[in-house]
Amino acid sequence: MTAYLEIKNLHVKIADEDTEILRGVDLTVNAGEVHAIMGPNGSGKSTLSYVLAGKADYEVTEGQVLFLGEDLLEMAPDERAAAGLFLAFQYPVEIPGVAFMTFLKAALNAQRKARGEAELLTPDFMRMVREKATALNVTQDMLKRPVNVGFSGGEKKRGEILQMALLEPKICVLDETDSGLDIDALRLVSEGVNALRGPERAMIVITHYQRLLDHIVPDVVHVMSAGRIVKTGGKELAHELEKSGYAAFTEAA
Amino acid sequence: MVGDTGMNVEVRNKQTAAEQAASDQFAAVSGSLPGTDAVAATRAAAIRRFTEAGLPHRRIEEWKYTDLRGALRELPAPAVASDTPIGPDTLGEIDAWRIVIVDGGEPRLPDGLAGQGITVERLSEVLAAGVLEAEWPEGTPSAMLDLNTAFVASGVTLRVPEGVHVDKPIHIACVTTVPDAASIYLRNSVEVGAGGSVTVAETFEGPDGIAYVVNTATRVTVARDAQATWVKVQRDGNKAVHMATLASDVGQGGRLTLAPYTTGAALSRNQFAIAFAGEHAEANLAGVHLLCDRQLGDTTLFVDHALPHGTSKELFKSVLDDEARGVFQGKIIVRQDAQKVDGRMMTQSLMLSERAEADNKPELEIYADNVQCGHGATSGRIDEDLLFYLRARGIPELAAKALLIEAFVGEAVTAIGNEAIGEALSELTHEWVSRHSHQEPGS
Ligand SMILES: Nc1ncnc2c1ncn2[C@@H]1O[C@H](COP(=O)(O)OP(=O)(O)O)[C@@H](O)[C@H]1O
Ligand SMILES: [Mg+2]
Repeated sequence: MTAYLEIKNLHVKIADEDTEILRGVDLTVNAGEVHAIMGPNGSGKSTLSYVLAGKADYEVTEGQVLFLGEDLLEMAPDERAAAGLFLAFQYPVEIPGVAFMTFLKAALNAQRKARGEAELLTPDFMRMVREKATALNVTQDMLKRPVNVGFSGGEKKRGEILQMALLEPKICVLDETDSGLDIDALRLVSEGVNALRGPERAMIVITHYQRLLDHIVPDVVHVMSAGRIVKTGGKELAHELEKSGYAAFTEAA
Repeated sequence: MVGDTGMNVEVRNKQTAAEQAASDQFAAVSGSLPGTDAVAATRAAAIRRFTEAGLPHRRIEEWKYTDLRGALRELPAPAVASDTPIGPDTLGEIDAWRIVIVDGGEPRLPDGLAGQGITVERLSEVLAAGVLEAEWPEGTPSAMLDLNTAFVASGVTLRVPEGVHVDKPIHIACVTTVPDAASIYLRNSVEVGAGGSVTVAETFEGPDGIAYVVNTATRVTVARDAQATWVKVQRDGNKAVHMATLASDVGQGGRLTLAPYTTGAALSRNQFAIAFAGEHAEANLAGVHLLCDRQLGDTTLFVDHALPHGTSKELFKSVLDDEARGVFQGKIIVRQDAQKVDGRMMTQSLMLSERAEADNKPELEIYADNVQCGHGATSGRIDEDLLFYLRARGIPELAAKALLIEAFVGEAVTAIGNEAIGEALSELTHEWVSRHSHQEPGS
């Protein structure tokens, strides 16, 4: 069976600069699996997520990424999304003047159109949003407001998970979705993520802290340091890290 | 190009073809223009002023970004009134009282407007009664206004009586259908009596490829506790020159919103003035420039806070593509007695091309000591991070750009505060953006 995502010897630098940030990342994620990537600040976790989503600031100098067997790096960001890749941003941006609801509809219909599916009728769309929004405690008021404008940290993260729930991607990359969340919000967001787990979906959960992984229990845990994956193990690796800290791995790298 | 001083003096004194044409045309048509002898005298005085001053050029401070003398090579003769049926409407199908003026001819008035209690007079009737206003307030006199005074024969004068709230917008559609270059002179006005309210949308449209000139002058008077919204949508043809003068005053407790939305004409200028005639009055400007190719759009505003407790707010948004130039000049005077004035001016430009140019000139002249005034200007390209966020959700690049441009303009459109007109303008923006959110070469 084809892997959902196959990253092979990925080297990445910042476009227009020489500094290499990812220095040979290998990672294979299969259908139904949840992988956690942990690591100290600055180790390259967000960079990896941005490169997967197709941000232009980075340049791939070596390596390959296959998404369901296709060359991911050849695809435009919107094509990746339509093909089923979703990034929950560490820092979701504010978009003044575009109502959250309008944005959700534009995104969903753009993806459906790209896949040759019919656009959703407004009443069907509204029903779907309302249902999923309620589960994530996303209020009607938030849906009317411009995307992320004036949202609290927790609201932004819930907004990201709502988008994920609506767009039903095949692979979800969650970048520090737990940062800025209090314990109740963390539980709510984790429940939202867990509800999306399934045999037809894979996830990469990036986090700095182990606590998120008590709620979203991973199948595999990777430790990233200085642009490489330096250790891979089961969910117990997260607990080990929590006790010993990253220092041991950082030195190993 | 800089000539020696002797040359410059000579060039300045020599009449341009357009200036010469104005005098010749006046001599030819003045006998047949509507109005009493007093009106004829006012016209003659105006053409004399025009001839003495000539067209404004870039050495005149307020015209330094818009060299009208250089740009207006010819002044076409006044249009011959036409009864051509008109095509599709700039504002779509909005529910409004619709007045139509074609090629500067007699206004066609809708049935039922009188039932609203509003008085509607055609300018020809006003002129026949001997009225042609030549004294315009500070910030509005110009050679173009003088030309308007000399030649104008068409327009409407609306009076909303005390306490009357007009049920739907009044739309004055100024449509140009001339087959060849011609000049169209218009003069519209609205007076809103104490406690009354009205929304007027004045729209201008005409054919591409014809170098016609629209010269329009507008008066908006808002009495005590009255409210007026004046929307001006300019979609003239791509070779047209559009010159507009608007003078407004707002009385005690009154509220005025001016909304110039400019997307047409090769060259256009809005010369607007707002005067505070009472305390606790409020004036807003919500403006838009959507310009492409080699269009030049200039909106120049003069706000005169003569009295205390006034509030003025300007939000001006420009979207500039290709080699377009957008000019916004805003001058706010707060006179010595005008304490507790709150004045805020914000201009924002979105540059879709590296060759486009935004010229912003805010000026605050404050003589009172207890006021809150400020201005800000931003200029930039589409935010790449926002674009990436939208694309990461599956929205293709062009659609994502369009969404961001529409959102940028939308803020000013929303500030107009009229839903139906807001929707019509959003639709115009959408059409424009669909044509212009193209891929820039090399990016
Ligand atoms: N666009 C960028 N420009 C400059 N430096 C960057 C950029 N993106 C990431 N970096 C640098 O790359 C390193 C890895 O950053 P990042 O991927 O954000 O790490 P993490 O998410 O693990 O904290 C850091 O040193 C960071 O400063
Ligand atoms: Mg990060």
